[in-house]
Amino acid sequence: MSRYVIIRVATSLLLLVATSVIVFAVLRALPGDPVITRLGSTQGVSQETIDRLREQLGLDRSVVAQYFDWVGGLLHGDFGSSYFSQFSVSALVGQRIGTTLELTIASVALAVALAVPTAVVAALRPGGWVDRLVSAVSSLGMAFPPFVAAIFLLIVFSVQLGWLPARGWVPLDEDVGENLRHLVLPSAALAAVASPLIVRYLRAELIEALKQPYVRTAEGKGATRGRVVLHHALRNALLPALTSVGLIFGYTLGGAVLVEYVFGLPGLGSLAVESALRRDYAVLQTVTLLLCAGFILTTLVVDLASRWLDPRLRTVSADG
Amino acid sequence: MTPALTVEGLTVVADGRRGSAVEIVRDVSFTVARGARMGLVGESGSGKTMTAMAVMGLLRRPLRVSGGSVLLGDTDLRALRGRALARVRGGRVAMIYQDPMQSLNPLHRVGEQIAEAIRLHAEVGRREAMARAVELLTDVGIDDPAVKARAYPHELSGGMRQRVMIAMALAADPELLLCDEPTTALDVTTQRRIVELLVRISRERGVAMVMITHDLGVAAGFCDEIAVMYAGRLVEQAPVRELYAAPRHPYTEALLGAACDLTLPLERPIPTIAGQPPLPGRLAGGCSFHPRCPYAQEVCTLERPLLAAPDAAAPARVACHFALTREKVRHG
Repeated sequence: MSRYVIIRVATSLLLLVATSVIVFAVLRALPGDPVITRLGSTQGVSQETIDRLREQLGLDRSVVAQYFDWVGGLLHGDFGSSYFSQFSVSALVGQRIGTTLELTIASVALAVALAVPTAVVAALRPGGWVDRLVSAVSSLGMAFPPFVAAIFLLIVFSVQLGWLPARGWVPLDEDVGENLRHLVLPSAALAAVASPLIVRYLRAELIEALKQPYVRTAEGKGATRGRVVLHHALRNALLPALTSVGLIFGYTLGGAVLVEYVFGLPGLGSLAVESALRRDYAVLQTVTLLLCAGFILTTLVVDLASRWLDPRLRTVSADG
Repeated sequence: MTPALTVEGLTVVADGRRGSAVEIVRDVSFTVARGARMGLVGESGSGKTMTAMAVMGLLRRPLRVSGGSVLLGDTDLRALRGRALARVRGGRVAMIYQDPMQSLNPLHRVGEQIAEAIRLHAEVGRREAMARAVELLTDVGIDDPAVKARAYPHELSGGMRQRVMIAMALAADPELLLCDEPTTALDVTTQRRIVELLVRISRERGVAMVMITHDLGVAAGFCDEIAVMYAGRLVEQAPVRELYAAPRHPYTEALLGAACDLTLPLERPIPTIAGQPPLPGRLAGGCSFHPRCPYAQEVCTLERPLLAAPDAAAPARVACHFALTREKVRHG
């Protein structure tokens, strides 16, 4: 394994530890008390009951001790239990993670599928009317928060046109067709925000690649315009653009939190929102950390993959 | 027999804002006979490369051919578009570029890049094209060609990359090869080997070649005939011996004077051409060279000399008012 890979993996782990501290600290700093939320009100409840509940949940210990309880548990595969349902967090996450993964992957795939042809068409004539239209539309797309896009799509396609279900979810293993029907709007909402970022980045990379001497060489040896663009320039442009897809994966995971909530999808995002509303730190901190870990892992994988895909860097890392 | 290349009145312009256009190559005409090797020499910015790019149809905006004709054999290259142009490019005319470091696709193995050139012009399968690519690498003097074919460009030295470029240019057996400063980016020993290789290829395969260079030593060793460009125009064209023995244009004379002669004592300063090459669009009236010309007379500032044979017997052409009488002017 090369030095780069070791350093990159080590940085990711450090980042993960730092994230866990921040997630933990931020959640504890939020106003509200899970015990009181759970009891509904303090009236008529003895202080004794409250204290007993506190002790049960480990909330009587110092914040630092609570942090190490949590992280220590995670390292042993014990994700803790919800303050409310007494379900284990791993069970709750297990029920929900499939939906979020499916939504995220579908959104990123849709975003890439929309972005690549758009970027190619825009880059072929920089400054042309297509390019300007693409720039305008993508600026607009980027300005939308995903949940606004979600509400907009919901109003048009399920409320007005009635083509697609507004809310709810059918798991993939139950009914593939219904699953896809429920997947369309949420993933479109996320892709609508994600693909402009990819378009912008890829367009710039492609315009740069098309100026390179090797593109002229390809033209000079008799490759048609299509082949020059797709086989020579696009491949070179996709490599740096891949990094942006890694970032987009992260944004999409973040965006999924609210989009799932809007569409009532039983994913990690809606689990996080429900837990936050109930001050269920035990669930919320683990789910948040998982989403962050997903982001960190994806950028790590994308970084290593793009290094491996670039023969120039591959040799360097083989030597180093 | 029709020449391999006939360029007639070629003019290249750079389009500026608000419809203004600057001429980069102006009214250039020359022919290259089949199997002949012509040198196109001149300072940087004199329009040599643009001439070659125009022949290949590789000019990019804002540059474009605004006039003249380019005939490859009997084929009018300016009339070709799309697939018809793609068939000729790399098929009948190929080009080797100045910068072998940047001119190969960094993500493809060099063997694949040569095989691609083969498959673009012949109906052959992948394996056969690859086998031919390895053969071509052998032909251009690469040791261990089967292994090198699997290398990526960055794994090869500059000289090897240029050999790969040459192999790629030869992939479809072109009748004309345009070499744009193929040795400039290389070290001196490699330069020599590449020139020798090109000469061998031209002899063995009968490929006509145009060698673009600012290095008169390279041109002398390579070409049968030399055309000199200045400020976008051809100013002199002559068989190589004649040109070196008795340059007719003051610019050619100055270029030859500026070439470093190692037989002379080192203390002697290296002669240079006074002044700067003119910028396109800011050319002097009359003969473009007159501001730098030691022989310039009033007529040179007023009237542009036409490229013409100095006397009926000579195969040379020159664009100078005093091509024949210069000696007298100098002493008188």
